[in-house]
Amino acid sequence: MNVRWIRTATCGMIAVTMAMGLGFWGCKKKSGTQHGTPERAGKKANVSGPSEKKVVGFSNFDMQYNFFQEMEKGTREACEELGYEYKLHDQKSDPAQMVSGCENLMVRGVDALIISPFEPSALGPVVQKAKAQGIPVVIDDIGGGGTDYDAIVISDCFGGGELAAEYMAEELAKRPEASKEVGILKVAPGHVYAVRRGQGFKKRIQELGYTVVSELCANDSRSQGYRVTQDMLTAHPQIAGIFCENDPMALGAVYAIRDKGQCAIADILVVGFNADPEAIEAMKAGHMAATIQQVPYEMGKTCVKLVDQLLKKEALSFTDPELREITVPVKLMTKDSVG
Amino acid sequence: MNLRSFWKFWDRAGIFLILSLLVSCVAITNEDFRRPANLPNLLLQSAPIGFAAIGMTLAIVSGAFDLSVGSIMGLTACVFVSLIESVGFIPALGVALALGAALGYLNGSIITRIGINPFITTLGTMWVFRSFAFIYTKNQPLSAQSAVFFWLGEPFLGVPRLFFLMLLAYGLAYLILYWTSFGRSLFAVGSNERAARLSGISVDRVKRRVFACVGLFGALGGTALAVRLQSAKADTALGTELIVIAAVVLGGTSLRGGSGTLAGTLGAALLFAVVYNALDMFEVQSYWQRIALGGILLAALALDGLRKWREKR
Repeated sequence: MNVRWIRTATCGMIAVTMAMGLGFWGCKKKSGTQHGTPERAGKKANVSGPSEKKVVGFSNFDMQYNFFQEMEKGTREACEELGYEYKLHDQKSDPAQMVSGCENLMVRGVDALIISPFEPSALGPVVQKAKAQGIPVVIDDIGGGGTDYDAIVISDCFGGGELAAEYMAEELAKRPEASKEVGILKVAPGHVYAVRRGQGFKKRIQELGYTVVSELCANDSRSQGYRVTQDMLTAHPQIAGIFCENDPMALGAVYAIRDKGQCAIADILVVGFNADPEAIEAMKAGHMAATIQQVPYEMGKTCVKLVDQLLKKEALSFTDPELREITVPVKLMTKDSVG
Repeated sequence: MNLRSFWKFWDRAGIFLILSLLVSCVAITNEDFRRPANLPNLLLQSAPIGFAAIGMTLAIVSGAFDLSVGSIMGLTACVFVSLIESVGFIPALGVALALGAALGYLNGSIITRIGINPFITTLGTMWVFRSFAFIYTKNQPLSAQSAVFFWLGEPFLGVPRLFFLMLLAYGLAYLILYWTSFGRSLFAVGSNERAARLSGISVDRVKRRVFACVGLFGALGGTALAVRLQSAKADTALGTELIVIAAVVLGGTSLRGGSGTLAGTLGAALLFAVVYNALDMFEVQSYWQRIALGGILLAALALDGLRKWREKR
């Protein structure tokens, strides 16, 4: 075999494979227009009878979290119930993949888009593109980034905070020695909805006669929750309860209190938010008192119902029409209710 | 002898062979992938990595590499987005590029003047620059509207304008690498630093310049990402440095320095975009997606290692 032959053969292989690839692209291009949806619409009209299913695309935040697995399950099951074809994309906690994944879903020809956005502020290009193609967009949780979405489904965060306050006040009332001072561990200020948890808690606990002596941001994480709780207890040793806007921070608080030789139920009552599996484990083990459970499964189902109404051009009934919000109720979960 | 010239050819065009094989296999088996609207998407998706990988190729050719490029992308994206509404697109881009080049030059200065090796220096500045981004944005997401975003994303002759700009950047870098004394000295420094120094090349100056280039092209990557997302956040492009380095290595540039191709880098950036896109189209579970990327990288380099082993024998 001589050199030239090998080189020619390889060049030939490249040329042939490229030509094949581009050929496939090219022949599709001739039959359709530039954008996904019109082409798809055209294809539909030619190929299918009236019975073809409409397609709902769901771009999910990150499938490695239990919360979003439940949300995906609810979305998928509701699609099956209502007779929609279902297409899933996983953003894997990456804003660039969120945008490209939603674009890819639109290329694949969805009739409606549900997004649980990792980065709401980057939703702009996606929503504009969807709107330009006449695809309704429903946001599931996290935030809408000020875009032109059709509806956003969120947990009743404010109500959940109030629920936590009521539970805490009820438990602390049983303890004559407990002070009337409580603290809050806050999530990073960018989380528009999670911030409402603390607001709801603060309003209700003050109505019930308690003072919020410390509100510190622990940036959503367990390690920072641990550190910030230590600082909070150094500054205010008489605190009777701590409300945490998410469970990782609550777990950090629980272990900071345990390391001080105290109990996060009997001495300083810690209430979290989310009902993460780790928090439930901690509650079962008797380390943590309570958390507020969001119901992502129901949120997923609600989104599909909204999509169904949007595709049938029905009017939606918003909890907050100005922000196009629809809230899904949350539940209190205590150490006694998890068994 | 014959085999050796095959490998020589493989070095130059192997990545395109893999790329075209992959594209045709996916196009044949997946009807979503070959929808016409997918092509511009795919090309746009390759842009941020593609831009940043240009500078990284120059650096790796010179035998250095830069872990801080992801942080430079993040910081310049934030600065770019925050300025765009007050000063306009072009000035904001100019500031972002100047900032990127300055940060890169800073890396180069630390490496050459203080004498810390590139790995440690850029590991350190990776954290420092990322912190700057958090401080600058106060960890708030930034977003901006600009007509230029749409203009860049719109297809021109079926290909998004941003992609044409990327090709232009590759052309420019090609000229720098092969037609300027700076570019030629990168190869010299990369293959044998001592020899380069003895033959009168100012090695330190070359290094500072090449790191400035990494910063400059990193900033282009960061702004390209911001254009795609129409927003930026302090943790934008977190961890991207490793994908950028992977793209350069996959493209056939040797981590030991002294050899490399820009075309290969471009091919690898496209390959990554195709892989991500195809995995989405096939609805592959995300747990498996990273295996695919890691597998491709290992397979490509294993082939390279196999060849070296055979040549030695």
